[in-house]
Amino acid sequence: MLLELNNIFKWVTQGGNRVFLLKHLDLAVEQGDFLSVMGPSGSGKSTLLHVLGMLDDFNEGEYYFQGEPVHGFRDKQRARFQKEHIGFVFQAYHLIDELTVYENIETPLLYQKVSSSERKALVADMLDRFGIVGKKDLFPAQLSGGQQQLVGVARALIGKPRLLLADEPTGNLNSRQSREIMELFQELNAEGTTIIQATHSETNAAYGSRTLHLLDGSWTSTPEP
Amino acid sequence: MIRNYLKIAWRNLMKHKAYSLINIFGLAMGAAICLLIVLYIQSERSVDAWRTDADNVYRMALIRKYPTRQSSYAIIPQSFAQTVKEELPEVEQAVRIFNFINNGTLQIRYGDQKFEETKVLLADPTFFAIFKSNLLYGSEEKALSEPNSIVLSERTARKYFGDPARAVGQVLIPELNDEQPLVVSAVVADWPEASHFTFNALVSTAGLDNFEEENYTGFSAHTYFRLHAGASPEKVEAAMPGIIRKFAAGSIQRSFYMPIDEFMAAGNGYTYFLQPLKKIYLTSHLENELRVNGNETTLYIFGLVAIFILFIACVNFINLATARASERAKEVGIRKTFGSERRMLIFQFISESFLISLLAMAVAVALFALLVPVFNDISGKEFTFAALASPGAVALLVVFTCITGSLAGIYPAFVLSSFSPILVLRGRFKSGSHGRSIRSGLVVFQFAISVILIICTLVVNRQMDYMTGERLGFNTEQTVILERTDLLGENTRAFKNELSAIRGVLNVTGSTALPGQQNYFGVSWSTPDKRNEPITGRGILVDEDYADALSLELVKGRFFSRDFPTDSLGVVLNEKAAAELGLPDDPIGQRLITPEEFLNGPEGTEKTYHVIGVVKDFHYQSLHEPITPLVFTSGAPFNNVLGLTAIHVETGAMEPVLSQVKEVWSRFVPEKPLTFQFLDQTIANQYDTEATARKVFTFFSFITIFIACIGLLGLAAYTTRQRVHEIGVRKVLGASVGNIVLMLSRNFIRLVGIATLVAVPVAWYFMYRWLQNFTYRIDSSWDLFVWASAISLATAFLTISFQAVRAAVQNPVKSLRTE
Repeated sequence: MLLELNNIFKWVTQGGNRVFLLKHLDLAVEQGDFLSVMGPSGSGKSTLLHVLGMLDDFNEGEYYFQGEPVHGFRDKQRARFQKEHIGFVFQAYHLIDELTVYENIETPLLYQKVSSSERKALVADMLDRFGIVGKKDLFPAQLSGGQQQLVGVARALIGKPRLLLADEPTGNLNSRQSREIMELFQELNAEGTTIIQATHSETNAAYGSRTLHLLDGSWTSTPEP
Repeated sequence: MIRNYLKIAWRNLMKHKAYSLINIFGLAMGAAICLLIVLYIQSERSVDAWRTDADNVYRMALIRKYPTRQSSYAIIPQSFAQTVKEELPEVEQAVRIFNFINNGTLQIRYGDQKFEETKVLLADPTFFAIFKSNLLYGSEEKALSEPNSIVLSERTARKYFGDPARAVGQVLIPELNDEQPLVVSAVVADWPEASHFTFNALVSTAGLDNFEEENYTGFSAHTYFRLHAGASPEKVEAAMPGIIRKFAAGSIQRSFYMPIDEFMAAGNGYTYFLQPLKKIYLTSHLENELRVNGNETTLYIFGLVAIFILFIACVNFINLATARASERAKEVGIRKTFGSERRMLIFQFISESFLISLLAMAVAVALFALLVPVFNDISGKEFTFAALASPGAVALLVVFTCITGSLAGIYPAFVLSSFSPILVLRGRFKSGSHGRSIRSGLVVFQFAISVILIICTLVVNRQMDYMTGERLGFNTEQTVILERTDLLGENTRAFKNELSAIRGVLNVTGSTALPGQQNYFGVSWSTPDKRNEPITGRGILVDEDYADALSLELVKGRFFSRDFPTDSLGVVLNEKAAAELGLPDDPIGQRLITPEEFLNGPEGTEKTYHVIGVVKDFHYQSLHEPITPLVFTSGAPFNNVLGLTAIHVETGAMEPVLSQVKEVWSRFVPEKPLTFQFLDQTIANQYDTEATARKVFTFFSFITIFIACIGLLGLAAYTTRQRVHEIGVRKVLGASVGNIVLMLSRNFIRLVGIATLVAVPVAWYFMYRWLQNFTYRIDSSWDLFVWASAISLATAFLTISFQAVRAAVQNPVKSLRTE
């Protein structure tokens, strides 16, 4: 078992009323899963991903990652866990505009105290694998959307995370680019990376090994154990 | 990692060039000014500080209390040096320094060559025992011990003899009455400028009787004592009243016709005190100082200004960095998502601000080179660009880089690094609102300082105008003063007649003193029935045309006249003198006497003078001083052979008149070229310190408002850009350009308004204190404050509206499409 959510609640208080973002949520994800989370806008997909990615707090419930209780972690522990085990891919790519492709991919390694020569080797591998060696000195603004997302994925994977979280990774891409990214995900999954993606698109969801539907912060169907 | 940070910092700089320019230029400007100020302070503080052996050396100075006022002098009666040394065991050594006649300027002949030598002082043989010096030729013991010996500075020796090594033993002839030859006994390395006095030549007092005469009442000698190690200067000061009683009582009796007890009881007194040698330059501002001393308060003000300017520049950085926060927010979010801890981000932003401040320092060095001449001009210093190469200045640059880097970087670093990644990445991040109140506060602070400096500038300027203006009570315009007219001797009358005949000359007058020149002599006068209650004041010898030439106003009687031979025993008083003497409403004909020797007959027969007129009080001394009693006596007994001659000239005729005056002079005194000054100039010279303050304040207030406006420009540009969408919507809804400009400017103008409100009381307080330096001063009237507010508001509005108008005239379709 890679991670497990038990009875997670998350709410915000608006005008004295609690508005639930996540409500009574359970989830179990095995190592090697490829999970697609679907649901309309505002159903809580992003919130769930942020909670899973340890970027955001929740108000009630338990979250175990590799058997460790994330809900009991202090900030520092959580940050360490996050940077060691989790990679993110965003709909809007979120590359740093002032850094080149090479430097963007390298960034996570800077925070993991990887030596300079090792960084070079890792980034070179990644560029090679994604076929973007020729673009390594370009800035994000000089790339197409699909290429930018490719860099985004490369960056997410550079730290060899156990879990890849993708929040509508193809939302800004055309269908051909979408297909390429999804095929890449499938490949990564086949190599053992656990992936959880949030998506609007049935087609993309179909790339996953299973799909869950979220509505108003709750599953519409009970997830399999 | 640091390379990655610096890389991104550099790319950010390049990407936002205008923003970077504002930041770097502002910081550089601040740093350059600070460097100048620190160098200035250092140079002022270094005066005499290098005299490592001077810790026990003190100068004795004096507060002279008169019945109605008091004055402080840097010189004391000449007999105290010897007496105090003999009487008090604390004193190890004493030396006296005297100003040579004619302000230290002396004509000296060497063979058939002739030189005008400046800064000549007279000193006791003990001079080099107290002032350790680097004697190049000759020995310390013998340098001043022989009568008629003269010590030259290296520069001076080179001037006379080419090679200083040849100087010792040579004979120089001073053009004094007796032309007693002087023998060069030693050559000393050029006296350092960083000293509270300096000289080109020292003449020994040895063998000169008039310096050995007993005198405990006339002030003439700069007197220095070296105390034994560990001896207390307070003890010496405490012993002085006893010494006065023991030694000065006779002098007092002779000078003031009364025993010392009565003299003291009448409200007179002498307080002798010791000034540590090293503190003289910055803290002593007495009469008869050996040079114009520096001012500790000025240094504090300068230091404060330096800190303010640097701070204002840092504020620009902080404001722009936080205002731009939204642009960096995304990066912060991404970095946090990929594992950056907050402290790493803080480190990143601080290293970024260090990079900027490093660049700023490089620009500051260039600006320094540009500003040095300007600053030298206003401060009277002689800094060069090379001053930056000293280890001290380099250390200073490093310190500045660190201070500005951290001062400017820390706050933005904490703000930027605090952003939550989710808000940022979801795009819910509302930009610009972060630290808005702090930004506003800082803008208020910047402009408050600017307004304070503007007000100071205006007040200082107005006071200066007042002091050099028309209210002095006499004519200052179109008047030239000829010096050394005592050289004319018996030709004085003829010379004066020739001058009067020149076309364009209105008046010619001879006198011993003119306003702006400190050569009034001290005198005491009394009425014969109250010889025990003399008044002390200033005296001046004049010829008959003095009142006309200076347009003095007579309130009673008349001025000296050739038609009344008895006027040689007449006196003219100013109102103050008449009042202090207690003369009746009509004082004409009242009898007066004085103990002053040269105003009495030979062998001390007393002459009785009578009052012939009273002139309205006028500012014959600087406006720092209250008007004191002034007594005119006639120059006729001396055949009107007087040191100065003033010529009042018709407007526009100065140039032709001067050339003719020179021609006449060269016929009468062929051996000496004419030296002259202009009256308005000598009056202005009295306010050198204030003139410097005026220039300095103007300079600083210009710089501060400039830096503050740079910052405001950046901030305005930024907020305007943030509101482009809003402006577009408003324009579509029908807002005019005026509406938009008003909307964009209103907030800033409000801030500057608040700053003005804060600044006015502070500036009022400072200027109130400053004006206390002047006995005669302007009121700090409200219109100055209105002007200052108007200036700052106008500058701010111009700065902002430049941006606002540009945004407002843009086609709204364009700005809406970019959304």
